[in-house]
Amino acid sequence: MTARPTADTLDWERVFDTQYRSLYRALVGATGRTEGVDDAIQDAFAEGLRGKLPNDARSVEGWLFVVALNRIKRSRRRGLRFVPLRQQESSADPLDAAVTRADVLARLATLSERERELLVAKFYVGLTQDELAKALGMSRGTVSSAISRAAARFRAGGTQ
Amino acid sequence: MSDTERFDDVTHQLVTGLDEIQVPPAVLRASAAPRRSFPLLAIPAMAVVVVLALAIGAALRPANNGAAGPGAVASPSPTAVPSATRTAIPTPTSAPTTTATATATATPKPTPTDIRAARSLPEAEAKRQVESTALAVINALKAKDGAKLATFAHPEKGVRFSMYPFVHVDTDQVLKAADLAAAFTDPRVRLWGISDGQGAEVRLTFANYYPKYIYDVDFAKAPQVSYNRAIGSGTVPDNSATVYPDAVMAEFHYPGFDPQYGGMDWRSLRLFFEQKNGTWVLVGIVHGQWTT
Repeated sequence: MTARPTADTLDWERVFDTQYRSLYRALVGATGRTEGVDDAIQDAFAEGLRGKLPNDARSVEGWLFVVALNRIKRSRRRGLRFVPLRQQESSADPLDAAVTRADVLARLATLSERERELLVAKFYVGLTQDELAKALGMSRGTVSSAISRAAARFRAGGTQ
Repeated sequence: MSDTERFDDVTHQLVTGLDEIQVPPAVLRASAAPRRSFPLLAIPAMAVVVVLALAIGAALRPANNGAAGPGAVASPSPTAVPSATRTAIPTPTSAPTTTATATATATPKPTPTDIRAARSLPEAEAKRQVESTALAVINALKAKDGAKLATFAHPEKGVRFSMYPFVHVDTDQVLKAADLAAAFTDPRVRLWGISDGQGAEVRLTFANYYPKYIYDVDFAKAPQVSYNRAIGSGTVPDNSATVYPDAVMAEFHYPGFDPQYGGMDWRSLRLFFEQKNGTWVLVGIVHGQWTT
């Protein structure tokens, strides 16, 4: 996803059309679930439509991701139960795609929730370390070391 | 291996894997209106406030009937707090499964996500695919909204501007999104092509090119709009189907303005959209008019 500076006249429908798929995939990767992801994205866009996007937001997509991710986490804390990702898989996918996707999701699933969020937000969404620190309530130094550890564990298949 | 290389590897694996996740179709449902859940949550909260106020009032009231007192107030039962979310799915589930789903049997190769050979789509289907985007682009052009226009540009190819229906792939100006965003205030003079008839080079800023070879009439109100079907025709051949075989063409057309010219003063603006990651994006803007 690419950063796109915002403006008061931001065309949210256009942003939705162009970014929904990436947001959906990022949130599935970060949470390991598909249920609730669409609602969370819709809520994030509702926040944007209500003018909640900070003026200094570097990336609209990054901000939407963080808002939607927090929405999912709040829902989870309220005890909502989600359908596991496996039940959402499409049997119509080609085999190689399914293997690739399943391998990545499986290795993400071996990480802690925080590690998954860090990796996806950093390497898929493209948030900076400062943005990650703010979004996840961590110090910048902690973010840096946590990313390195998470990346190593991901590459090793979560065995470290 | 350096940290950078390790991180690049993680990025590659994540992008490769996550981009294979199937995304269900979705439309923007959100609006700027307040959340529906707010009043739902407010109802029990307000009820508690009202009951507490009554209780306090009763406690402070003079005991004129001997019944006042804390025990005379029924305690509220705010246990039923409505959920504020739409995502509750009470399906009992097992722990998340992380094993590969590659056990799925081999299936036929899927059709590509992006529509190709879109110029061959029947008109009705072409219209269904791009109509809303085409209208949005026309409105952005009419409003001289470069920033808006830029959001429709193909992220890699940009938008090629052609003065006439014959598209000169090598010499027509191509503006990327960043160029489009600032196009109307860009002082740069560009060579857009050779004027048909006079044979003179057309060197203009975008702002001056726009009223001559893009939006010279109000195409947003064009009486005829077609998709994948050319309406205007003149002496200049139309090679757009060859140049943009994967694009849907939307043509906004005026059949003429002055009856004395018998329709030879027609105007057209053709927009070409290719699909990129499932979204129709603008790759070409072609102006059309009678030339001699």
